[in-house]
Amino acid sequence: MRWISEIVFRLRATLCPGRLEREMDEEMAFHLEMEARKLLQRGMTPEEAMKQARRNFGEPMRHKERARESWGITMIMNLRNDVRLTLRSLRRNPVFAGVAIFTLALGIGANTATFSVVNGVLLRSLPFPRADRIVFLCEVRPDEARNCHTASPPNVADWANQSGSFEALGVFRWWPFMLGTSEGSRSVAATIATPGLMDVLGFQPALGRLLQPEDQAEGRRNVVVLSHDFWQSRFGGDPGIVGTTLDLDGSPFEVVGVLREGNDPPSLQPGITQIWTPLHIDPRDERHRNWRGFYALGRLAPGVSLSEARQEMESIRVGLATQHPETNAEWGLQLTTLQDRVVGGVRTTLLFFLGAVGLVLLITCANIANLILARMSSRERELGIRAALGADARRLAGLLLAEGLVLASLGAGLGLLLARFLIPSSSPWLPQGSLGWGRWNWTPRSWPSPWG
Amino acid sequence: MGRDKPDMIRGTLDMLILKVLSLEPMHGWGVSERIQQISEDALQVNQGSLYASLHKLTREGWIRSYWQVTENNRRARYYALTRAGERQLGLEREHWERLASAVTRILAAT
Repeated sequence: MRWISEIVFRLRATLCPGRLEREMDEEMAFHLEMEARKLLQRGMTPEEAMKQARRNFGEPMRHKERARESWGITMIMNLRNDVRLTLRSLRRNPVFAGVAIFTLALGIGANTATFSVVNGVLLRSLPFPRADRIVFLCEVRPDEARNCHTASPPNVADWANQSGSFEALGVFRWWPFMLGTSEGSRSVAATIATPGLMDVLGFQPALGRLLQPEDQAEGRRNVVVLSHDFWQSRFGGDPGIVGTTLDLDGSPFEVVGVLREGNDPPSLQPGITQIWTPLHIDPRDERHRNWRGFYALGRLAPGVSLSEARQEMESIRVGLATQHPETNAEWGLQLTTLQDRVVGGVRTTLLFFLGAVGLVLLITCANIANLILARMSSRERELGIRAALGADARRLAGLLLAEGLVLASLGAGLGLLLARFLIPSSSPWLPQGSLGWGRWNWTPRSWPSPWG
Repeated sequence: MGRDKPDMIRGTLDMLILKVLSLEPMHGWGVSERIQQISEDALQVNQGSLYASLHKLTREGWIRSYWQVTENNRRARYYALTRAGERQLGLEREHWERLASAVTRILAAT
């Protein structure tokens, strides 16, 4: 039972301290009155009685202080008082308050904004399991090495067959389908992929299965895997969706699975992906070897480093170039981690910025420390009076701490507000969508179009 | 901030308040008067300690307080012992008696 009365008491004391104070005043006034009445009966004059009663009672302020201490909320009350006092004294020194808060806000705001960008771009990994093992492979012409072109499916199939560096390799591209419904047809965005891509990205089915190698064989019936979002928005999350048929471009496609939420392709392509269909290409068909219209991604095999993979792939490339000189002779091969591919160019710049604003924050702190120091020397008298009135060292330290707290809170609040405006919603030299407060999304603007 | 001279052995004031309130519910001034009366003015209650103690005992749940009009038609806060307070009084009395007899034995030692 004790804890109940304790909680009730503390709630009362914290929420309506005024009432407790009034009750205490009344209680002590009553005490004085009774004491005076007693003395009056002993034959004192009213004035004498009151004086004597006061003397007997002692110092009411001290008594109240001690009673308050027994409430167990002295800390909170002191903090409240200190904060109120600080706010009042800051209002009386608007220049000091303004300079201190604005300096803090600048330092905190600049840091928050920069860190938000760095966090979005560099620190948060791509939304795939062990994303650091994902490698972007692209074929390049040596004479235009800066342009990373994409890869052709027969080449990627040969890479997969000949190399041991990759656990999985896959290609994908975007494709619009027309979905026939009872209300007419509408377009849906598809990603056409080889099944290996789903292994590279670490996808998992929420229902049914993923794309499988058998789905690729020409002449097989058409299958489709739905994205989680599309399944939810178009079919209301119907659990019986697997096995039904969709009409895509006038042909029947059997739904074989639904992906888990967040299993989205790297959005290098226009629009989002609503459905996935397998790429129906015979990799042995040489007509396709020059069709460099696909993005290629690979997942490094355990224990294989990027440079080992580069070495192996280079010898494979040379072999393929002698085998297929008409399509491959002029093409080199570049391997970069997906992460580097996305943020490589801006990494150094961002880290440099982060260091710079870190220094700015240090300078801010030094500035504030100086400001407070300067103010303190003019407050010596005030603190002296407080000490003389009975404030002990702890109480004075508490007051100064509360002042720091108030300044820091105001500065931080304004700083966050400032950061909100400093963070650009997009920037031509940063991965699109990596900025701001929203969800991670990455689409480099400068990415070559698969159509071009 | 000077500390008050303890007017009684630390902790005994709580016990005395509980005891006095076990006789009948009373307001703060009454408690202090009663302690002085019964002790024949040997014990002077410091008013600051008195109210700190009363508030602390209330917080502990050993006494409860309520406002009531006195015989002189004056509103006053009365304190009354709770069940938990009775138990606590028993404990403290036991403890006190052990302590007192121990002190007496030591002083009587030859």
